This record gives sequence, C-alpha cells and structure tokens, in this order.
Amino acid sequence: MVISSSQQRTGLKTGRRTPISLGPPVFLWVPALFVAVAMLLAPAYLVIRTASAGQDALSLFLRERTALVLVRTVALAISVTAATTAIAIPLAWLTVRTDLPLRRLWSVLAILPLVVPSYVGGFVLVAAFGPRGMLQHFLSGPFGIERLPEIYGFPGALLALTLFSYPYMLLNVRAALAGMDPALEEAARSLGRGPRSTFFHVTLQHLRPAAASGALLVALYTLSDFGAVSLLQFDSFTRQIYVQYQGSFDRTLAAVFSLVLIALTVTVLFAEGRVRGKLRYYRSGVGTGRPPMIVSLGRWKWPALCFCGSIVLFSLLLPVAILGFWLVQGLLASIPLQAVWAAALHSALASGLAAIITVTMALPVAILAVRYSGRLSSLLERISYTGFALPGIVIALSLVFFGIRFATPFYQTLGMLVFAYMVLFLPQAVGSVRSSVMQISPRLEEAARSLGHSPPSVLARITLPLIRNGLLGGAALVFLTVMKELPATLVLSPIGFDTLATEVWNATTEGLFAQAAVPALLLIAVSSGAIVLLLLQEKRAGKTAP
Amino acid sequence: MVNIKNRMISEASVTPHPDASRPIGTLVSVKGVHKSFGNNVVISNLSLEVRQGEFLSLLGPSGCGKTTILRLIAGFERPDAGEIYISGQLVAGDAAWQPPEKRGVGMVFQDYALFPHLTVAQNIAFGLHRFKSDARQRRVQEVMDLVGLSGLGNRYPYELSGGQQQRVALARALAPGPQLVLLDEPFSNLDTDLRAQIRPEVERILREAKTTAIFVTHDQEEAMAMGDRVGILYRGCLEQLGTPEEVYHWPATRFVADFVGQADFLSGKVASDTISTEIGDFVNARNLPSGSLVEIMLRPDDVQLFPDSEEGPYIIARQFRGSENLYTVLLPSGKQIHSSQPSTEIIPIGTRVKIKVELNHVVAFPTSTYPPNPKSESLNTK
Repeated sequence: MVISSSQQRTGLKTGRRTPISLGPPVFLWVPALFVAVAMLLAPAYLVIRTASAGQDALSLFLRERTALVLVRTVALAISVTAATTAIAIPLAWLTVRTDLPLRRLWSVLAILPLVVPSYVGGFVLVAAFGPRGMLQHFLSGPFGIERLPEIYGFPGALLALTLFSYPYMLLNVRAALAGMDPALEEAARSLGRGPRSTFFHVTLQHLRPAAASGALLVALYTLSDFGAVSLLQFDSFTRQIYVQYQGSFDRTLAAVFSLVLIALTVTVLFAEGRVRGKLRYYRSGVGTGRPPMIVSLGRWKWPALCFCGSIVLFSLLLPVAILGFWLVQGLLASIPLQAVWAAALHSALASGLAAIITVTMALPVAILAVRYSGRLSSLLERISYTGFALPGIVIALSLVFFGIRFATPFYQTLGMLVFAYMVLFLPQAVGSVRSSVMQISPRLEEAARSLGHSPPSVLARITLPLIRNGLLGGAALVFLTVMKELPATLVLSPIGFDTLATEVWNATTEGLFAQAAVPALLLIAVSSGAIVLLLLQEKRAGKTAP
Repeated sequence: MVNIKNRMISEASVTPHPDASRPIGTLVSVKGVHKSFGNNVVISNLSLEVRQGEFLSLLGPSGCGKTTILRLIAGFERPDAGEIYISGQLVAGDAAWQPPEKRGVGMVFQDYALFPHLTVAQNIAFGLHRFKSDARQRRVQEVMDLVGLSGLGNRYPYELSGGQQQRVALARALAPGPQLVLLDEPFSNLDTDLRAQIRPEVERILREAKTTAIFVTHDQEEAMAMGDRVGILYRGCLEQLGTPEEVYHWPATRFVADFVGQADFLSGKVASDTISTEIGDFVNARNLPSGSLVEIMLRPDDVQLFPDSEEGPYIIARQFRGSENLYTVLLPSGKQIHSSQPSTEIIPIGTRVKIKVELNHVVAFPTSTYPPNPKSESLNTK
C-alpha cells in the first residue's frame, strides 16, 4: 500500500481559515476584561492623583528642575542609542559578512552581555572604578593614587547601559544582515558600484528598519532602567522618582515625573510599532538561498580584532573579573552567606507566585486574541501590553498611591508585590501563550464541538493539554524575569523581604562590594536561563508564523 | 447496531418549525441563506433540501462556497440571513441559534483534525462522554470494527497512515450515531490509488450506518460516483440540484453544462421549431424565442465522424485516452469541436470528415456574455 504524505502529519494545518465566528464565550471575555481593568488600575489612579493636585502639579511640571531632568533623561537615551548603534552595526557586519578570524566565537561572545542585569552592570562599574573599587585598590598601593576620575553620573550611566544592552541591537541587525538577499549587493556591483559604495547605499539602507527597531528598543530600555542609573547616581527620571518617593512628604513631584516618563515611553513604543510593521516588508523576499558575499579584510583584520576584543573585554571579561575579585575578597573575609540564602528563597517564592498568577491571567487574553479575533479582543490585548510602556518604578509608585488610599491591608504585602509583577510581565506571558495557541489548528476545537462538547469542555480537554508545554515555558520565562526585577521590589516588598536583586542593590549603595558578589553571580545564572528560553521561544514562533 | 436518532434534544432555546407540512423525509432544510466575509459574498440566497438517508454531493470550483455551506449547517458559522432547519427544528436564523455541540451533526474535516494527544480509541470515544463506561467501550469497539481499525485502538494518530487516519476521523464522527455526517473534501489528501480503494469503503460504511451524508468536493468523478444527488455550486449560488444523470444530460445552466463532463458549444439561430447551426438543424426542445442566438451543447460522444474527401471540417488533433480517442475537429467557421471514437481505429490528423450529430435531447442556452471558462479553476482529475 502506498503510504501518503499525510502520514507525516497528524492532520494539523495552522488554520488559514477564520476561526469560529460565533462571538467570544462569556467564560473567556469576563476574566480578560478583569485583567484589563487590573492593568489600567494603577496608571489610571496615577493620572487621577496628579490631576487632583491640579495647579500644584502643573507648576511642578513647568519648573526648571523638571526640564533639567527631562533633558538629562532624553540625552542619556539618545547617547546610549547612538553608542549601541556604533558598536552593534560594525560588530554585526564583521561577524556576518567578513572573513574575520574566529567569527563564530566573536558572535557568541558579543551576545553574552545580555545576561548581565543592568544593576549588576552598575555594580560592576562602581566596584571596578569607584572610590572603594578594585582599580583604586590596586593603584593606591604602588602608585599612591587616592582619587580616581568620577565614574558616577553621566559617563558611568552611559557606559553601564551601552555595554550591557548593545546585544539587543546586535541581534536585530545581525538577523537583518544574515537574511538579506545577496542578489541585492550583487546587482549593485554589476551596476558599477564598488564595495564601499555598495555598503553605504545598499547594505546599510537595507538595515535601516532593523536598526531603527533595535534602537527604539534600546531607547525604551534606557528610559525604563532604574538599577544602573540609580547605582551610578545619574539623575534621570527613574532615579528622581525613587528619590522623591523616599525623601519627600508630598509625592506629587514623583507623580508628575512619572507621567512625563510615561509620555516618553509611549512615544517610543508607538514609533517602534510603526517601524516593526515596515520590517515585515523588508523580510518578505524569500531570497535565492545563496550564501552572502564575504568581504576580505586584509590588513584591516588587526584593527577589527582589536575592536571586537575591546568590546568583549569591557562587557564580558571585566564583569567576570570584578565579580571574581570581590567574590574572593568575600570568601577571604568569610562573609556570612545566610542573608544570600534567605534572599534567594524569597526571590524564588515571589517569582513562583508571580509566574503562576501571570500565566493564568494571560490565558483568557491570549485565547481571545487568537481564536476570537475582533475589536473587543484586540482592545483587551492592547491594554494588557501597557506593562511594556510603564517602567517598573512607575508601576510601583502608582500602586503605592493606590494601596495607601484604597487597599491599606494590601499595602506592603507580598500580594501587592506579586500584583505589580503581574502588571509588568503580563505582556511577556501573553506573547508566550499566544504563540502556543497559534500552533493548534482551530479544526481540532471545531471537531470537539461537533462531537458534543461545550466550549469550556473543549478548552479543558483539547486546548489546555495541547498548549501545556507552551504554558510551562511561559511560566518559566516569567519566573526568571521576575527574579531579576529591581524597582518594584525595592518599593513594594514587605519589610525584611529581601530578594537577590535588592541584596545587590543595597550592598552596592553601601559600598559593601564583597557582599554583592554572590547574589550578582546567582542573578547572572538566572538571567542566562531566561535568555536561552526567550531565544528558543522566538525560534519556535518564527517557524509557525502565519 | 445501535443507531441513536434525534440526539438533538429540543432545548427551550430552539423553536420548532411552525410549518408542519414539510415534505416527508427531509432532514436538512436551507432557506435563503446569505453569508459574506467582510466584503466578500460567499453564499448568495441559497436554498436546498437534503432527504433523510441520501448522499448529497456538493460540487463546484474552489471559492464557490461549498465548504461554507457545510460549516453553516454544522454551526461553525452563522448565516447573515436566511434559515436552516435540521429535523424540522430551526437551528440558525434570526430568532434562534443552536450551538454546534447540540446539533448532533458529525463532521469529517479535510485534514482529519484528529486529537494528537489522544489514542485512536480515545479519539473515537470523545463524542461518547455521556455514555456509561462499558457502553462506551462497546460502542468504540463496534465502530472500530465497522471501519476496519480493530486492534489499533492504542496507537496515536501520528503512528497511522493517511488512509488509517481517515478511517479514525470517520469512526469518530459516526460513534455518537449522528443523524447527519458532513464530509469536507474527505479524499483530497489521499493519492489516487488510495482514493480508489477507500471511497467505496467509506460509502459502504455510511450506508450501513444508515446515516445521511453531505460531501463537498471539487472532483467531478467523485461527486457523480458517490452522490444520490449532486448539487452544482458556482460563486455562492446553487446552479442545479439533481441526480447525476439529470445534471449530466439535462444541465440547467450553461455553467453546469460546461463544468460537468466535457462540452462544446455551437452557436445557432432559432427559427420557430428548429435551431440552425453550421453542421445541421436541431429541434428547438426548450422553446427558445424565434430569432434569438443560442448555443447548443455537444458532448464528444454525441459527435460522429465519417472520413470524406470533400471540402469541409478536418481533424487537427488526436488525444489517446485508453479506451477512446478524442479528436479535435476544425469547422470551416474556425470553431473547434471534439469527438470521441473507439481507440481500435485511428483517423489520421488532417483527414477531412463529415460530421453527424444525433442528439436524443437538445440542450441549448441563450447566448450571453458569459464569464471565461470556469473549468480552468477546477481540477477534473487529481
């Protein structure tokens, strides 16, 4: 008997046909609505609170101080973006398109700095170049140098953010370069353009959407970042919000700062959405499948190697060395590790709870978005993405306001902290669940209904078992991301509830570098797991893109 | 064999058909149904009736709306206008709506849609959740024997061949004993040999189960072979509904004449009782108005050829088809027609022939500005 090709399949075609156009069932859109309301609660209250302060708020907004902070924040974002672009584009080109020696090694090493959370990056710089840091330690003896140029402020923040976030841009640009049809450059050459002209007029232009998308992501990351700027004492919005929250009696200024920051992040997100749409047009060509033209570097090999080497030195070797140094110092001084152990347990507890709750809340939103697409479900999905636009410190602050005013028993409890985590990381979970659901053909659910099962029964017996692995992956991702979270944890955690992240932060601000080393190393390990999971998920989602 | 009739319990939300005098034996009644997706009108004012126990084939080129009708009957889509009755009860319309799980309509999907995380036996048992455990097991075994899958109960779908998967899909749909089974292009995923084997099997299984079935296909041969009646669909409209013989010999519209079987259309002019064409006169059987321009349908087997030395039509091509030769003849007017002759004899290309056409019944249509040949959209054989 001839075995047909359908033996390889089990009859699953990710449906091109529209799913059941019967309207979303109640048991899905009610929880989804609840989630949307929960997401909007805090920011809405922030707006109300600020608006109710009325004139005061306006005058605070128009003060010179606000303008200064705004200028500083925007300047940092622009500088970091420029710096990462200056690093990422050459690196991408060198590792993808030239005959650079040890190309693959450089590729992997260049991506690795992603695993360093920004505040650990801050710790590394302070512990290396700060007044009580490693460099001082080495130089004070033989050279008698007592004071180093300041690492704090703008230079430090720029360095910390650039060194550990350029991989975001690198990944984008590299993918665009690797996916580019070599025929484009070959056509340019055949029309009389030399290699340099081809690079500037063809290659670079092709990279524009990917670079723009990467740049906006880096800008968003910089605007929202709290850990690095606070440890390096740079007065951008996030640090100022925290300082105002901690210091003043009237927190209206903090609220005003938060609103301006939200305006900035929303603008960036909006721009990123527009650029991402354009990206699809560029990637639509299937290409010829030929390998790209490799450029021979010749004697430029050495400068190129120096460039790659120095990047890897500062972004990878330096942190490893610093952490190693201070770890050894800590062991020599036999610093007790019970605090770290307790912090690790707390981290695990909070992250575990957050993972379970966030993925559960993400389920109705994701299923609605995929199976019952329409105005209501896309609105609910968009609302759930507010977590992207709101920096952690802003969510924390708005929940503080909300908690004090309305939910006093919840204020400074683990419950409120987990709620903050949910608001922050729901978009991640929705993305995970969404791509899992998309891999299941709607025909399976229709078949189940034709056999007499109601929609809740279909969800329980067919959909959930089939997306189980995706759900676990999403939960693991949320778990790992929550463990690294800093600002919301600092502000909202119950008294005495330290996590690994707050341990690093507290120890660094007090100059107790040895104490920060172990939790920092643990966090890097956790972060690596998260990055691996994310890359795996993206690969899987890319395979089944509709 | 247990055959559970009327599994669909009348719910409070379902309105019984007010008109009790429907024709006896009608299982499904579709009245004036419209359906569009966005700006795309897929079904336009469609009405049809399916009799109890019959096999109805719905045939048409891709995009004609046949799968949509199936989905409307099953309850996976809602009609924009019109009504659908199953067993006399209104299941879709302005006043009422019955969800798919309550309709007692089984469905076999084009890609089978077997649950990958369940075994064959669990797949088949999926619709039997209201049965008691031992009754369920018995029924599963019964149905597996019926379709010829005994012993494969513990396998998973990915371990089965295409033909076996199809049987599981069929068994699963039949297990609850539905009154109606819908099949969406059930054989299009199988290669030709397999299809020739499986088709009569499926037909036998469904007849034994005494189930009413609606097939959707774009394969003519399949539709004509398996259907008690055939419905021809084109661009959302039902062009004709009748037995295969009726549709083949007495096509109601030019599309049907062109789509079903092979046909040439010869232009002619009506003069009261006769239609005159360049190859002769024909009876004006359909009483078309005098003086109008019409087209007469000619099937290749209607056209006889006699080699002749005079001026006139001659053969320009010959296609060998096993038992017959299909000749293309060029008429003096420039028109080409086809003739089918036994392949025991070969008439060489270039031979001048005399054409004789004898039609038991004349099928003629008024000449209209008809859209280009839709046959290019459909696949006659796969």
